[in-house]
Amino acid sequence: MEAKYLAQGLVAPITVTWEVTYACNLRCAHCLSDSGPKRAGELDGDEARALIDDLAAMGVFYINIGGGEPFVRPDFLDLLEYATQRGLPCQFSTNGMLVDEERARRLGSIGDVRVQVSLDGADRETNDLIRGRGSYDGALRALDLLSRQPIDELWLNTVVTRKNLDQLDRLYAIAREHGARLRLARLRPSGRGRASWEALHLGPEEHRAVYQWLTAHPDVTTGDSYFILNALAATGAMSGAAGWLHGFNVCGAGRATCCITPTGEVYPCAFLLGTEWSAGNIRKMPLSQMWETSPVFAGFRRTQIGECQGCPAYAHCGGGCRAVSYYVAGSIAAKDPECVLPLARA
Amino acid sequence: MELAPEDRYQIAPGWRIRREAFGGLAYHHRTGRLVVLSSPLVWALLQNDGTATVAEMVEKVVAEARGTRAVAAETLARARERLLVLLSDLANKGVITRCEDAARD
Ligand code: SF4
Ligand code: SF4
Repeated sequence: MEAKYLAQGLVAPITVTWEVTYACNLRCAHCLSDSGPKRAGELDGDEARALIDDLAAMGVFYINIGGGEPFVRPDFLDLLEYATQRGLPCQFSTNGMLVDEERARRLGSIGDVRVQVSLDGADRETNDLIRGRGSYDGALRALDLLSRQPIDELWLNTVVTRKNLDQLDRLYAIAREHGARLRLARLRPSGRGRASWEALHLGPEEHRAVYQWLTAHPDVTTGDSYFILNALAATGAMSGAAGWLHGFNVCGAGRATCCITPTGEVYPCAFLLGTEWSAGNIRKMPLSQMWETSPVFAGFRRTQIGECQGCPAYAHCGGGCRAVSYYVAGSIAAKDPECVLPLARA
Repeated sequence: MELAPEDRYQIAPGWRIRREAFGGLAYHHRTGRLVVLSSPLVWALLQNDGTATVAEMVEKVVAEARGTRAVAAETLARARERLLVLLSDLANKGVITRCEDAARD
């Protein structure tokens, strides 16, 4: 989608990330929301349903649910059902540990839901090093149970790190064996990802390897912000125009998306949760109103990345991920520090 | 899919359409596809419940855009041609479908 459409301000986000709880049964090293124990003041069922009503009335296309671990919330499947009954499709991420037969069956009966099971390694040792003991077995058991249900889309979601880069073929095979699609997400230095960033994030040559692997596997989807690799196609250094990665090609923070935390705080994106980026709280103002009036969102819509002007990849990258720029380079208006353009030109 | 002027069409199953300042957006959850729509196209999608043919909708869109202005016949012909192409493109992208095809699905 071209950035010019987003700069004008959409009538509603395309998707809203809603973290339904901070509670999580794991402590992943790169957790973007720094989840763990449940925190005080999380939205209750009535507040959650009012939020869903507001999103449906705004015309949001779908809710992207995360956490914490959504299944820790006892009313999670009720809320999922409530949203889809109001015509709001959902997608959610789970570590899979709490998926049992009954929950899998119930999920299969709710239409319009995409399920992402997180797995960060193709073997127990690699995955559990990042996600915790027992998480590999839990994720595979969940994939097995979910693959037997008529779920719209089942994805295996992997955050690519130095630890699992050489396992992409095996992760792909695991997804295929379970009738799922592999989705690769870029590591970003938010939440606990800030502390683990140096140890886990990819260097330039490793990014090149991801790009090559992705262009050889067009059925693999990418999470937002991997569009930064498009510089390798824009310069013709790799596979030319045929090498554009599918999906969104510009940062959508505050423009196409925003994030609602378990306590109702609203931020431009799930990876930009600093108090300086708070647009308000839905307990005080509905998102529909905030989306139109928040100065924080207006600022993101206006942001131009000066260093990137004239770049041949700008239309397909837009300067990269604002969260990586902010946490690594210190400004949301800085060029993405993982820009691969120099690599493409070398 | 090539749409003929006499084909009746409707929004394909699973697509949701939304108006925007620049026109509109179409979104399909199962595939995650997002399509940008120009204003006349949004109109041609939202105003047709499947009973109008491509040719009829093209005439309606042209009449709506023209309002009471006098427009040269050549300009109108170009607009019709362009709309036909755009609707066929939407059919190719799966956003709209021939009613006969929808009935078969
Ligand atoms: S210079 Fe900017 S727009 Fe170009 S590839 Fe790098 S980050 Fe993306
Ligand atoms: S800041 Fe990064 S993660 Fe957030 S919407 Fe932009 S590209 Fe995506």
